[in-house]
Amino acid sequence: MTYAEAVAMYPHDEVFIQINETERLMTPAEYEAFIQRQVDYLPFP
Amino acid sequence: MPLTTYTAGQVLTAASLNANFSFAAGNGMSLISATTIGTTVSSVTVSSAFSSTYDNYQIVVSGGAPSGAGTNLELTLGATATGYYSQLNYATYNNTPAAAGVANTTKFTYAGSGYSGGLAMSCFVGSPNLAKATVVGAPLMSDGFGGNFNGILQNATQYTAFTITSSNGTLTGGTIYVYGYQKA
Repeated sequence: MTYAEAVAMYPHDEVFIQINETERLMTPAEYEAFIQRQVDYLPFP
Repeated sequence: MPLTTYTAGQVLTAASLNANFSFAAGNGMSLISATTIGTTVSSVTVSSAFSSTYDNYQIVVSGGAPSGAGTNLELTLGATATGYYSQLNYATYNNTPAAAGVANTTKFTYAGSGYSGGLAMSCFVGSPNLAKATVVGAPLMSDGFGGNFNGILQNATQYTAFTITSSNGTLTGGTIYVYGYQKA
């Protein structure tokens, strides 16, 4: 998945971090790391 | 005191009933928390999972769905992002076993899975709140393969929290159950 594809698939306002029962939007740094994880992901096995 | 079994017509005393409650409370596992996973979350932190009440725990995840196929549920403890050593022995069904190991990485990579049937995790966590290494062991259950995952986080940090992160995409729905093993 390319960076642009990841951003299109997971817009910033549609991905959340959950702490116990509370969800919040990601910070810019968290979102950047999340998108990079999608780009780097290799299916297993 | 062993569990008392009553017969018809027998007098049930408070002492006997309380003894049975104590027996039930002091054996097996106790549910500590049940956290409902929200919608399109990349990670879920359970902040008050571990304490001195129990030494060993079981984290169970069921229900819900991953956004992508072939998702792994990764486990981290507290804020620690280094020192995770683990080994996965696995096989696609009806095939020769293979292995994947990682040393000194940022997480326990294969603590659970997300597949077409939902989310699946049953991860033993040993001594996370003790001032010693934390060990984990989990069957890896998926629609494409099965495996056995084990690992160790070799530090003396006394953890109270853990985070489950989707290896790719997001998670929606399902429940994270945390159980404590009774000490005696």
